[in-house]
Amino acid sequence: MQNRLFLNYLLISLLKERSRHIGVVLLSLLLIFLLSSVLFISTSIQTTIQNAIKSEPDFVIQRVKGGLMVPLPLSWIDDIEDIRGISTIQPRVWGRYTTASSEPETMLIVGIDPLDPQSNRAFSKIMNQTDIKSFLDGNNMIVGSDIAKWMDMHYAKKSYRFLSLGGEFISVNRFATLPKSSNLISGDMVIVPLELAQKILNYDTQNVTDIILNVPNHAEWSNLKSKLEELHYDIRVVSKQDSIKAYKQMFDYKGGFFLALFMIVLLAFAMILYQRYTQVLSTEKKQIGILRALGWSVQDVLRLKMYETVIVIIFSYILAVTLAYIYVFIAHAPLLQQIFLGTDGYSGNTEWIPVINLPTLMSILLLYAVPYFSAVIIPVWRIAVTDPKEAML
Amino acid sequence: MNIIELEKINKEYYTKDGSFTALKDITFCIQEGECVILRGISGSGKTTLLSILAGLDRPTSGKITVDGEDIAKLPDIHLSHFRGHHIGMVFQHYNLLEHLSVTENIITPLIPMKITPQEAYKRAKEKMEIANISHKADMDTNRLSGGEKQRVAIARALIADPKIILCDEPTANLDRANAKRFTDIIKKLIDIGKTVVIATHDPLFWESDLDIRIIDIEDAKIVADSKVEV
Repeated sequence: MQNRLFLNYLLISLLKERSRHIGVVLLSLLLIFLLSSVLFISTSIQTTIQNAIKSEPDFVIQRVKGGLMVPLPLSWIDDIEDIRGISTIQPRVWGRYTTASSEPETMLIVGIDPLDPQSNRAFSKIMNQTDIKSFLDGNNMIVGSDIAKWMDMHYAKKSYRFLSLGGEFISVNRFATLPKSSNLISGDMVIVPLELAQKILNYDTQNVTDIILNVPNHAEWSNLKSKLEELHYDIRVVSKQDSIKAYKQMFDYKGGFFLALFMIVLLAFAMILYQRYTQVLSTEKKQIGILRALGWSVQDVLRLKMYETVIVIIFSYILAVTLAYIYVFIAHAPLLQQIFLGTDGYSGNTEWIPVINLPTLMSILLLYAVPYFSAVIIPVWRIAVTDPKEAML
Repeated sequence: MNIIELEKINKEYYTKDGSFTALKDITFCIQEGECVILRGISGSGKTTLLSILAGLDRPTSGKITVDGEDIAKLPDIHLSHFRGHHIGMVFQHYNLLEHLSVTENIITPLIPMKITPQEAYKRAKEKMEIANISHKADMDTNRLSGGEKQRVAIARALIADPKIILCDEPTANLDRANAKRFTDIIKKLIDIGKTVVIATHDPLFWESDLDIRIIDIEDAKIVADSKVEV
């Protein structure tokens, strides 16, 4: 336990020399804030993607003709059912719908069967809160928050009229809105019952967009993929791993941005360290010499400077991380959000899922604390072990 | 009783151009409660001698005993401890910590000694009274005059209650009035039993009414040692 006089002196010394520390604290604050904000956003994106991946089926079967994805007949289900090892098989209907206005908006129409376990897994949060009977009773839809915002602006607060390929208007009631926290994945989504999706997207009842299936024995995945590919010449089998890769690639190009930012931060930080190192050698040399001449040992001087440095490090780190948390998860990261998600479309409405990655936060602390601590303590030690008479000059 | 004993002290500095002798065969003793003036022109070696007495520098050879301790042989950590407890130093340029107040400067030598803040501030108050600087207790030292800074330095030198006070050219940066005030404080210190060693070439000290002993240093050697009694 340090003596109270020492702590008293340490605090007085820090407060009275705040002008010496303030520049370093502000710059460190800015750098840690930037790094932590980017880290919070990327961790949040990764978590959203992981959540999406969890609900992905093991395989998606599609039909490709002339390089285009085309609807596939439900009869394919009978062919697939004959293969052993498959636990669930479900048809899906989904597709892009672009409005015919002067400023067209594109929605992702997803047809679901609320009683089907796979749909339930993907939309478990919404399904738990939804009165499924009422949802199935009429032409109802659950919309992503970006689409909800767009519909509000286009006088479709209660319902929206979709125009089918056959020229028929289909009025669909707005039943619920998806949470903003899932906006990254579902911002442009319109969830409707399966039959309604077929109507809007002009599918006949015997055709679907794709078929999903689950295979509990993961060791059989590659085997099963080969068997599926042999079924039809125009079949395309997408495995869960392919989906994971596709999701990851969506944000991979941000890695370059992160690397560039990281390099800039490192360079700026190296400059701070150099500035602090030279500051100790020039301005604090006399002070250390005086302390030594007054009876302070090398250990006493090092102890004072170590405590001073640790306080500065912890203060700027905690403040920067707290500010970054507020900026990302409460203020929704203005500016950085545009960099990560782009300025087009609906992305401005995203709420980040608050996730704190402790190992990475600790890495930032170490990356900041260890070099900063060394940049102060090494010159302090060098001065403290020299002749006090020389240091006081 | 001798409080300081020096025996054949030599100090050499080594440079690229060869060696330089700062002190040569210095031998003398100082009794407890004595006031000794180390007199000599600039470069004669008196400041080097004072630094060796303070334990800020080590002799190249010879033996130096201060308050019964052979300080030339003490390891750094013990020498620092010894300096803090046994020696009070008043520097020519005061060497105050400019960002701290008068009181904070005065208590600085006590920080490694693990005493309570109450005790430290009580002692500071007492020493400020002796040095006649109590009225500036809370002022930052960068706003003080030269004379006031020196009185802070004296109070700081006294804070750990050392037996020995060493002063290096204490009046070199002071006007006559302040220099006179300084000699009055020295008198007070001698009255309370402190041993005072002053390195100076200011005639004010041998013209004052202090009971002093003058050691003349010239070209790194002692050339005279005499007692001046009032």
